[in-house]
Amino acid sequence: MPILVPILMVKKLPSVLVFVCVISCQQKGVIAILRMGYMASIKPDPDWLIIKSFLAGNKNSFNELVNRHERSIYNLVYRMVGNSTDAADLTQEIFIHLYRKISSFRGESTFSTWLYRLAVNYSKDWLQKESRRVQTIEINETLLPDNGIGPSQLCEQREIQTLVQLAILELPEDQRLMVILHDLQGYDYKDIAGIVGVPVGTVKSRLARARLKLADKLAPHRNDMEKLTSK
Amino acid sequence: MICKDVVGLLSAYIDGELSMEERAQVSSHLSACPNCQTQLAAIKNTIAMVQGLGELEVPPDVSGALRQIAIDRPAKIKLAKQRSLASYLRYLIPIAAVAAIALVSIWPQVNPSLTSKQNEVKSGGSRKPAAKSALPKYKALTQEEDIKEQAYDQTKEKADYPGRLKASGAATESYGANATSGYNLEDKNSDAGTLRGYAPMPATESWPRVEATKNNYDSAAASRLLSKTKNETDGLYNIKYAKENRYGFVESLADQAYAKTGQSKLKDEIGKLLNQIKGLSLPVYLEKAKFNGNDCWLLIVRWGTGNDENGLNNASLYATDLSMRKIFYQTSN
Repeated sequence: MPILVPILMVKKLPSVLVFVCVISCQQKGVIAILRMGYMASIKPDPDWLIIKSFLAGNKNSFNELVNRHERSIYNLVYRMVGNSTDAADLTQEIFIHLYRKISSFRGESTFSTWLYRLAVNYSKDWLQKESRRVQTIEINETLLPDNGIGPSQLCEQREIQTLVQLAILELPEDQRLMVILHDLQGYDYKDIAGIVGVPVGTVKSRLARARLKLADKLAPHRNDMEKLTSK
Repeated sequence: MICKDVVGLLSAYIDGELSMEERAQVSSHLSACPNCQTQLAAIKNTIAMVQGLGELEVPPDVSGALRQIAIDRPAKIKLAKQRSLASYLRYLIPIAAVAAIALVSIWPQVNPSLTSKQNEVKSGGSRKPAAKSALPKYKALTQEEDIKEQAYDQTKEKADYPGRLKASGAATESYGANATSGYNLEDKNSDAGTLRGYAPMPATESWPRVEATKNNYDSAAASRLLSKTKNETDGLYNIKYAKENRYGFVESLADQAYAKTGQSKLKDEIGKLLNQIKGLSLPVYLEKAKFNGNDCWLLIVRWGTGNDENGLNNASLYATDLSMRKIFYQTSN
């Protein structure tokens, strides 16, 4: 109501027209599209056109969202849980949830931030509710190819990667998340605050503590790493 | 600033997230403190080690499964839309009615030129009483719509997920009661009616089915089982039905298998097996038994290719280990 009255005063629209507009906006999808369109006009989000298309009924658009985000979500989840089987299950659950609830995306943050928040919550639930502790560590066999590295160096590199992954998994969940989001996924403090739902100052202090702990754990292997990078 | 304070700020210092003042203080301390310089180098090195983990490729089976979501779940998204329509009607119509009343009362102030005309017709039954009389009419419509939507949702859910509803007898019974009291398929001309026209469910509602037996199959016995199941399910399903109900069938099989054998997590494995079939497929039968003396699952799948109207004319049988990851035997009919 407070919105309608100024519109009428300025435009002098017939009340019937406004009434019809209100009635025609019954579909949840339509409202979601309008809301996102408005938000996107303020802050452009590269995903919103795809979501708009999906909500309009083009289900193939969902696969475009999968193309754009599957790798980052899988990597986030994998680093949080530490094994590919659970990471695969969780990634599927996250995208199924996304498929069902995408119309609840309000456009108040970027879509990727919203999706990351979803993934973070799923990962935390998995770690906390089930009281699961990471017991196995896998050698990363599906790492993206790093050209120009020999077999022996590759072997050493994988050993170090395993040690680093173990050290990350030993961090408390909140600190682990900071390291993954900032140092692996490249998000800045403000974005992380939005994803995790904590003040920027908290992000700063958690990341600082996490890095100090990691530095302490990895101190015995630092020379190996330096040798490898100098080769 | 002492070393303890500086160490706490080194992380933000590296990221450039300190204020100008803090940054100047930390820089000043670092230039005179070898210990903190070492600590700074250690943190930088640690960050490099973490970044050296690199990015993982998504495993192909996971990637494939993610792309299957939009194919397997069209019925669910449709269901959600129907529910949202009902819920929005519930709120929007009263709001719109109130808005209409308010607009009529505001209109003379907004557009003074109309005021005199309205005054002229006021004695003949002005707009206000008309708007008020519209209010109960809309309310009545909302209640009627709600009842219809509720019954429609339940009918649709049954059509989409026959197996899951079958598993809970109470849910099926309450569906029946609601359907007879509040819903008429012909009046609604609904998708559920269309679906039945496309591919009627078997009269016995016995598919998909799970059995746990002590049968010991060999290839000949497995072929006989496949032929028998094929005969019983011939003509029941087509491509469109498989598209819209495959997820429900997989869930039903997994639920029944869990209830009968206690084995969980079969849903994903059945999905992976189905992904090996090029056309559209529907898993109709699962049996825990033995194959040549080995514990196994026997999965029978109806599948077909082509247009929506085409039937699932083919049938395949897979004999797998209990994890469903290793296929012992496979045959088609």
